[in-house]
Amino acid sequence: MDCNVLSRYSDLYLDGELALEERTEVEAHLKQCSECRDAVTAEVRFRQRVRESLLAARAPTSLREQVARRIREERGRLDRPRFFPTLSYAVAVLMLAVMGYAVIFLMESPPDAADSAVAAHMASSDSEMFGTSAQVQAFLEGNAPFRYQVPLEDREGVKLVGARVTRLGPRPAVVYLYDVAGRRVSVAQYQSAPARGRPRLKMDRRSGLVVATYGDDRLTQTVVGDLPEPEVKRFIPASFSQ
Amino acid sequence: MGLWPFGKGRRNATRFDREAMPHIDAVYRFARSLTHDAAQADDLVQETYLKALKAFDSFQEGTNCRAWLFRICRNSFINKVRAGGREVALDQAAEQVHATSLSGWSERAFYRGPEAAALLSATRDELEAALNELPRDFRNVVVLADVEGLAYKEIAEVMGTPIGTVMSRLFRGRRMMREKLSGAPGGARGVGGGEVLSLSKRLKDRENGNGL
Ligand SMILES: [Zn+2]
Repeated sequence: MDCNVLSRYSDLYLDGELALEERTEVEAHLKQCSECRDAVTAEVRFRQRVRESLLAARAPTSLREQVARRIREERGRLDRPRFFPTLSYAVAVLMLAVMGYAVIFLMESPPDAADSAVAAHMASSDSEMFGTSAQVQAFLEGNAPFRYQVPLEDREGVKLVGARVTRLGPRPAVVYLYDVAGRRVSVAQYQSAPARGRPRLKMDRRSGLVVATYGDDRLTQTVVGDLPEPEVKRFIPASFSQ
Repeated sequence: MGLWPFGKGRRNATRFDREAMPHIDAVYRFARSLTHDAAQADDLVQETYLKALKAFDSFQEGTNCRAWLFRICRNSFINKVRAGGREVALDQAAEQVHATSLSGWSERAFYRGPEAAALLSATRDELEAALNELPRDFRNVVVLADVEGLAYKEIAEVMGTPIGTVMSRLFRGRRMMREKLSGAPGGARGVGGGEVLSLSKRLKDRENGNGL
């Protein structure tokens, strides 16, 4: 390879686009020709300067924030239409059952093996209803296994969109499904264990989700949501939060 | 996008945050290069990320996420230009003009001359200005190669052009930039992308679809 040929190859060489044998030839020439070596060295230095200088241009903070915000909004929108498929709901209930089960386990006495077996069969006996708040409540009138109480009435940004009658571990339970500004919050409600007279609240965090359990001597609720803690607290009556 | 945040939706969301978001500076630089305008670049970056979010299922893990984002960015830009009724052909005309005016250049001769000092001492503003003066498609290719470090093949995919076109634009763009900075045209001989392509066995193989 002579100097003329090398100058044709030098861009490709520096761009890393040569095959091994070509690269070997270029390097052999550079080893024995100081002129070409100086030229290539100068080019490398110049490219470094270009790269360093132009890499300094960065997205403005306002743009970063705007992109982050629009992605959040878009995720909310993408989630919403898929809200109703039963499969998704089944997954939710299953998750809730597992977590609620764990919560019960933590807060109350551990269920025995027979109860676990019942829990394993819970899916087949579930019934559920999606619709307006009124439809959901009408459904519960006929199906709830105990004297239920809707944990939270509809209000600005909080909408009851479904309910499911199921079991959490050994306990019959009603799972309420809320839409909170495009996100889902589930509230499982079940009858409190005996000797749990005082109102209580327990906040927890599992797999990145806020889990809040509160109750009195009659009913206990476990709230699970993909929401920040203050938002989850909106679900908890003031008498429990302190 | 399951109901519950343990499924594919949540995994994808985390993956998107991890793989796509860190490239926002690069996408912004490329958008600036495409639009030549700060406000338009902002819009383009937002559009790129929203499209990327929706299409993230089609992104293949292990491939170059930055190049994938650049491709979305460039397609969005082209669609915008088309919707605005403006013509992309302008740049092609500009390319022809520059191709003829840049018939001669030799890197080796160039760096030996006194111009080398001017090149190597260029300030950031001067470098930016020289880059911004390039015709758009030249500038885009130079940015993708020399700032973002993409391979020819990746650039070809981003720009939707053959590798030969990428190379000719890249080499000519680089030379134009260097001429601007040094204030002097180069030496005796120039190399077109096609010519270089015929020199490189590896690239020939690639063009023929034989891979690396
Ligand atoms: Zn030489």
